[in-house]
Amino acid sequence: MTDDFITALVADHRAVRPFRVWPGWAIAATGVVAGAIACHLAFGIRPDILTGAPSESVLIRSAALLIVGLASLFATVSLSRPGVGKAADGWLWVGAFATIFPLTAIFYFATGRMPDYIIHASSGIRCLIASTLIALAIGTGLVTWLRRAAPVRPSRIGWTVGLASGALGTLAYSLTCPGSGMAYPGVWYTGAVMISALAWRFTVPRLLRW
Amino acid sequence: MRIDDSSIARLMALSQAGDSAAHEAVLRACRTWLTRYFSGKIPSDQIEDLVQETLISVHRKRATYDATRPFIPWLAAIARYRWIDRLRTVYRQENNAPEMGMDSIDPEEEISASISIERMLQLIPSKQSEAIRLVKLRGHSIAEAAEMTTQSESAVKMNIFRGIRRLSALVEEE
Repeated sequence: MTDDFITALVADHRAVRPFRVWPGWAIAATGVVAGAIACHLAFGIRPDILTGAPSESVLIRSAALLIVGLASLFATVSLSRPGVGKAADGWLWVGAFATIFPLTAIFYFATGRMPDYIIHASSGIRCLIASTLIALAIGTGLVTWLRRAAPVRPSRIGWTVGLASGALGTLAYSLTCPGSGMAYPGVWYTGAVMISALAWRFTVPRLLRW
Repeated sequence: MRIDDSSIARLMALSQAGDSAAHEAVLRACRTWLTRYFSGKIPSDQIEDLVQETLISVHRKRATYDATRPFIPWLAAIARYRWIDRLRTVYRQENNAPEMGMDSIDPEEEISASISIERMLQLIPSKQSEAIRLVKLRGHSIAEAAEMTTQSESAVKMNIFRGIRRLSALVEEE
């Protein structure tokens, strides 16, 4: 019976264009650049970045977001094709390292040292909305590209798409963000990245079912 | 038929380039491997069905194979994915079926959905629409649908596969 079945599949056969991974990287890079330009036009780049002398906290948070974004994107690319024994779990270690920001915020809350201006900063909500919107655009681009792929670990790729788009979207916004220190990104950046990660974790498996 | 990994990887590269004979050789080798893989994992009377489902996945997703890498890990990952999907479907049917009563379905939505599906089914060949109607909409098994339509089980599956692909293309065009 399967012989007939194979014959029928062969009758349907034609040449295919091999699935490429570079569009995933290109989509993410384009999203970050376009997001940063849009934020610059809307809010203006931070003066310390414009003068080429960013503060230490800006350098640290940008590096953390970039590394989390790249590690998650690398995992997404790796998970886009079927394969056995692909660990691709660097994003988990990098993500664990980046929890230093929310842990700092929790420590400040717990010891009563969290400054009121961070919680009530008007830029906080702006940060959350702008970062999430850029993350949504990057994530949508990645999912569109992944529809030609064949991910066999849907939940995991949901997390990696969410973290990659969340971290890179927040990175694009952060170049214009007036906030400083460790507690500010611990509250607001963590919020934006987690919204994106959770949203894509639960939608990607449905969107990429095959 | 038993083929080593490097040979099947070369055949798969030819298949991607459009060589139908190579594609047939790949599918036949996959069938042998998959039958062995699923043995002991699911009841023996379901193995052929799952092998055919996995062959459809191999056929549909052949573009995702990277010809510079080993073939068997790629096939094994797809087989595992289809196997888990099958287990999940069986689990859902066994645990959720009684809860999905008619009460949870909006009658108006159901009527408009069925009108819309019927309209779309008229746009594809009758054998394909008949197979989809019987199996996917009325819940008959592949064997029952084969008996009712005097088609072979393989033909019913193939008609469902082709019909759904045509429906997807039609929906995208709309």
